[in-house]
Amino acid sequence: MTENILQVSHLNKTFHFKTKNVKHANHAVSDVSFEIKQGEVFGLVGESGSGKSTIANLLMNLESVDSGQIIFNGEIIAGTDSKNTFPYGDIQIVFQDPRSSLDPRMSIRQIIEEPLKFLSQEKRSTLGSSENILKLIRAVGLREEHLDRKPHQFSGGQRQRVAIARALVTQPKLVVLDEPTSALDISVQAQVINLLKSLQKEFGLTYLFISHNMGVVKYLCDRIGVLNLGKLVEVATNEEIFNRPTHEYTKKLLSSVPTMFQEG
Amino acid sequence: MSELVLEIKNLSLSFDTQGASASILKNVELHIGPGEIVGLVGESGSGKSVTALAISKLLPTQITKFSSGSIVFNGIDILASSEVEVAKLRGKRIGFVFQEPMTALNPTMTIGKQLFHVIRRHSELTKTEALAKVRTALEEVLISKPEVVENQYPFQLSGGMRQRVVIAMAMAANPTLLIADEPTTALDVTVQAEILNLIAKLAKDHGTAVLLISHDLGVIANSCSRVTVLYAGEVVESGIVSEVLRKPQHPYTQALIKSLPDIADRDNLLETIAGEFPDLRHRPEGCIYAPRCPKKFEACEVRPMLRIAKDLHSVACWAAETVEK
Repeated sequence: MTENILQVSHLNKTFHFKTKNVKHANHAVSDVSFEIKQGEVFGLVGESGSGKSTIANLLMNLESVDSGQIIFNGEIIAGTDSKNTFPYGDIQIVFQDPRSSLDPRMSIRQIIEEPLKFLSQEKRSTLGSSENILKLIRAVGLREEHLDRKPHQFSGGQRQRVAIARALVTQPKLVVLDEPTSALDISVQAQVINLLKSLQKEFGLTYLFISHNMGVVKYLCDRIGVLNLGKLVEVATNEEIFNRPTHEYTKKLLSSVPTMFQEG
Repeated sequence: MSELVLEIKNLSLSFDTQGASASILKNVELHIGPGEIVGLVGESGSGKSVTALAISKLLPTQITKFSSGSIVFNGIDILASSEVEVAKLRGKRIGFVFQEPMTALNPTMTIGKQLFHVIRRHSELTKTEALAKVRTALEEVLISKPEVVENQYPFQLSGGMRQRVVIAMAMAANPTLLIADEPTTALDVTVQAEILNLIAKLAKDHGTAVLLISHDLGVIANSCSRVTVLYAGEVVESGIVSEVLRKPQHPYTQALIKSLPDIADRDNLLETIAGEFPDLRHRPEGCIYAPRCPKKFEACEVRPMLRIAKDLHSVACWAAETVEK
């Protein structure tokens, strides 16, 4: 029996805002519960405004939880009864657009080493050893000489490789991938997906893969949760979602995807 | 076939800046008939948008050098026409829909007013007639409450609704050609399906020729009758959609389709294209795709011209006829 690395229960997040003195509330995430097992690739799919990225932000402690709980590796890290200690380095994230998620003034080496700042001195020196960094840059398909360059000298696909190396430097227990290939061309997307898949196998990584691209999700994810307007409408295995979707919204989402291989 | 709406022949152009010159399009061929939806597909930097802008003479004149070819729209030679003459075509005979509807609309003006201006600019209608036309134009893009929407500002509408408004504007003067440059890329899939259906319906009802530019092969497959595949500013393959996508002849098209995760076996890695996109400042003499091509042989040192492989299916590859037979 594999353990749950992450357990999200009854998570809620509402954004309040005011226009012309009228109060509005946007229930970005309402009563969302799911769990991710060790070594699993869990997909979250949904359209814009469905709450995908809000969930990522809540997991990363970039937003505070209104109610509900996030239990990571046996500890309550957010929500009811939490000690408000974020497990820095154990949960890492890769964002959608590597053009904006890498600091243009930092060298690739500085970018990759940055997450180590939050770790203990001991961990920092082992994980940040030049040997380790070298191994990492090669694992993501880049070369040693790339370490001293700056982000603008790289293509979109290469920058995303750097972002992946930055996420992996702390040897995280969970990697949140928020639309990591949406800003890339088809042929580059294939390279990055292959990289993510190989790394996952090689290091036994656990991914939370957020995407609106059903093709990518179908290829990468073991289990999938479908979000609609902040609610998780269906959670099932890859096979069930794509072959026997039960919820109406899942069916609608799947039928809207234009594919090349059905008669149009 | 004298009644083509658009015919691009042998079009080559480069961007010249400060001594450096980049060859952006090379010998591009494309034609669209009335009521036909033709797809233009390619990755970033392949020249899709440049082609669209060239048709309407919207490329920066200081740096754009046309080195060969012609663009004929409804019998009018665009490259030989003056800026004033082409300006008269834009919006009236050639409609545009761009990727991001928020930036295509004026944020400070109501939808009705923007549409009103477009209609007045391109027709002889009186104010009252134009106001009535605003209503019908919105109805035609299947906006259910036009009387509400015409008094709203762009920010009050969803992405899909905004794109409908942009399409209404592009279609208001009943153009003969509609250029839709990635019209659904910024939209969700469920909305994308609605917008693509709408474009297809309008093309059918009005006999409008549509150039649909997209990087998404799925979108092309579902909306277009013919498709042209661009790679680094060259047409590598073109033909009927079902032929090109089901039996691709060019190694690039084949690789592009295989790199899609949609139908891939989960146990294997995706097929990828080796190497990198060529530097367009130094376009190779031979086949543009040869440096990345697994089927490369001696002949590829000479640039292959677009040849007809089968009915209406043409391909620029020396290996095309010997393989896949």
